[in-house]
Amino acid sequence: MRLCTLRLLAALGLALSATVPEIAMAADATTRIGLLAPLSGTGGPYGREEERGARAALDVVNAAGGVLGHKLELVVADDESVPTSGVAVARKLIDVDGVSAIAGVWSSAVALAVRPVAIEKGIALLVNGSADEITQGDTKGLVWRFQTTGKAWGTAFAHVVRKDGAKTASLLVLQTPFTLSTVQPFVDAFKADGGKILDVVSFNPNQPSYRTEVEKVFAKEPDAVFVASYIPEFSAVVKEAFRSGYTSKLYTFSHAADSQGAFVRNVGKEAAEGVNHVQAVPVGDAGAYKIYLKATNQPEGTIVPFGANVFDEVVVLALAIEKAKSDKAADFIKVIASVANEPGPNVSDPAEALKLARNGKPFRYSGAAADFKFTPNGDQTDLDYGHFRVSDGVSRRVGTTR
Amino acid sequence: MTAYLIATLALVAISTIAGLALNLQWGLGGLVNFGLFGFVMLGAYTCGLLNVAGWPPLLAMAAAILVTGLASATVSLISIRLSDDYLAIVSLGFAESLRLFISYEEWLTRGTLGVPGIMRPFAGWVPPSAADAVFLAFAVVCLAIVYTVFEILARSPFGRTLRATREDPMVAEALGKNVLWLRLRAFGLGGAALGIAGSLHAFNYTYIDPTQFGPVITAYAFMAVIIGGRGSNTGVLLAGFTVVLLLEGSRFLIDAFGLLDGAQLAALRLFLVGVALVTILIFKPNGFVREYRLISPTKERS
Repeated sequence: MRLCTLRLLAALGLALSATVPEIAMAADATTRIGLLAPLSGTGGPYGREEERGARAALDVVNAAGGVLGHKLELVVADDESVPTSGVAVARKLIDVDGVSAIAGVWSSAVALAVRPVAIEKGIALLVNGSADEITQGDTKGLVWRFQTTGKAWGTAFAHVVRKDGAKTASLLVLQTPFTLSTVQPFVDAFKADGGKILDVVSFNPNQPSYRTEVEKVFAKEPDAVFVASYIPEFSAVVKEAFRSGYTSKLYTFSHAADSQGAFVRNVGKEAAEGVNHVQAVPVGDAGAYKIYLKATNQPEGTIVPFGANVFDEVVVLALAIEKAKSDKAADFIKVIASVANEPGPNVSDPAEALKLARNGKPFRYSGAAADFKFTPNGDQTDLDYGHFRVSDGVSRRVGTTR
Repeated sequence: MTAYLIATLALVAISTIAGLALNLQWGLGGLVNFGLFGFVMLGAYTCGLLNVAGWPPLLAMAAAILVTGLASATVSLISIRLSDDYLAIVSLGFAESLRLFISYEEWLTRGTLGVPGIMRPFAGWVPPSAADAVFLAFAVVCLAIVYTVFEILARSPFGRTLRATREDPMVAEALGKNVLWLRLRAFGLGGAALGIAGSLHAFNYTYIDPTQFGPVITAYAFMAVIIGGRGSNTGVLLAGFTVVLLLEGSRFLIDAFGLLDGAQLAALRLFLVGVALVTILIFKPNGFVREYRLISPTKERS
């Protein structure tokens, strides 16, 4: 018996030692970036979309000649949507795989936990999380957010809800750093517009039923209910509200109410009818977004927030590395802001932008997820928000707001 | 690679301390503590919040050990006449309540935003490049202390009586042993060790939030005790190492499978961990090491 255990351990050790040197050697020859995606756990529905976005951007960049004369390489890792695992994997990406940047961090809780490690090791951290705290404090210029802040989300929602003519609104909020950070800005902006807030109810994920919370909020019949949550909870809430015959208008993030049709499949066409969702969108011709959709084989008009964010993250990283002529985070983080903020001509094709960066010519990358600019602390500004409504099982844009 | 190994070994030390605590409570005492993660969380939050409020790290840690030990003893006292499944439910209930409390009482705990900026012990005295190594050394010293104390306890009359109550509390009671007092001490001592594990967790991540503490911490501790051999502290040491080796090592193993995409690999990895655990238990159904038994010298000779 002891022999068997030993043999097992030996086999495991052998397998380990077989993979390690290979990785260590490869780290010198190429530029590596890590994708820390939620491939399992609560973020599971979005992880695959992130990976597709990252690979699409990688293909576009490498087809255009890569960075600094060699190929850009991507190491994908699963953070299990749990902060402790996220930190363990981030350490592996940094110390073993030798990445100079970690992109795609989805959960705000994971981002907040990985942040001290990234800052200590001097690695760029590109996040999709919206919790305001991620970019606050001294980030040493290493933390960049490719998503709306909680504050901006909340304000945008308040405007959209008010525009739709709602006089009273209630909030049903999942307990996460991101969703909670949207509450106060929504309340403030809605009141400033002359609306009235009836209730703010928060709830925990993974409950067997959301009946109590739904009753509490919807029984008062507010004109609108802003449900700040992700797709699993939002689907459950919509089903409960529909079954009880409540008619308040529903508002949520596009990643909760669209996700390539997953929401409508979850709740059915009837329950999904009239649900409103909002997210930052590209305006005008949005060339980068079309390139992204084509590279990921998705039909035009698909709303894929996180995939497009990650696409932008990888493209901006490649452009910054090429522009700084260095793949060391300490060097290229200094030009990340300029990639989106320079006055130069707007370029939405990553390949063209890469060529301009290589030749030292001015340009400004106009992103796939939104036509964003950066603030000095790493947040995105200048975003337009698309207001979408589900009708007959399909999301259609009904308006745009700032 | 070295930096990664150092960080991973610190995780081994922390989870092994939690395993040793469970080994005292459940391995020796038969007290099923499903709420283990709640006590780790209590330790981490007490240590983290006091530290952020300006207490020196080691003092905050001492307070965390005290608070967790007392809370642990109190919880076992509430469930005075409970054991087995009922104690498991009560301890799980305590842990979940604590998690809700910490998630919602923002004035005290900052809620789901978590507590950032926790200082490690000795942080000011060592160069940043050596910080991880120094922390590992500190964690290993903590582990050594917990192991030594628990090993002495296991071999003492206290440990033997505790095992007697595990086998049959009625018989122990009939022989004049105070079962309640014994169990109270076992739960309290285990809780104190969980306070150490929690404090180390807070120091290790320097940022804590409620989602870091879930039933999975309890599951890892049970894995360590079951694989190590119920009742054996030495076994838990070996098993703590094995569990983290499986969890972390599997990340390297899946790098070798180039054909699958990330989501499939992530699922495959968790699947591999499960298979490895089952395999170990098929070949070692009683764990790595048997629990300590006092053998009388006369009997040995015969």
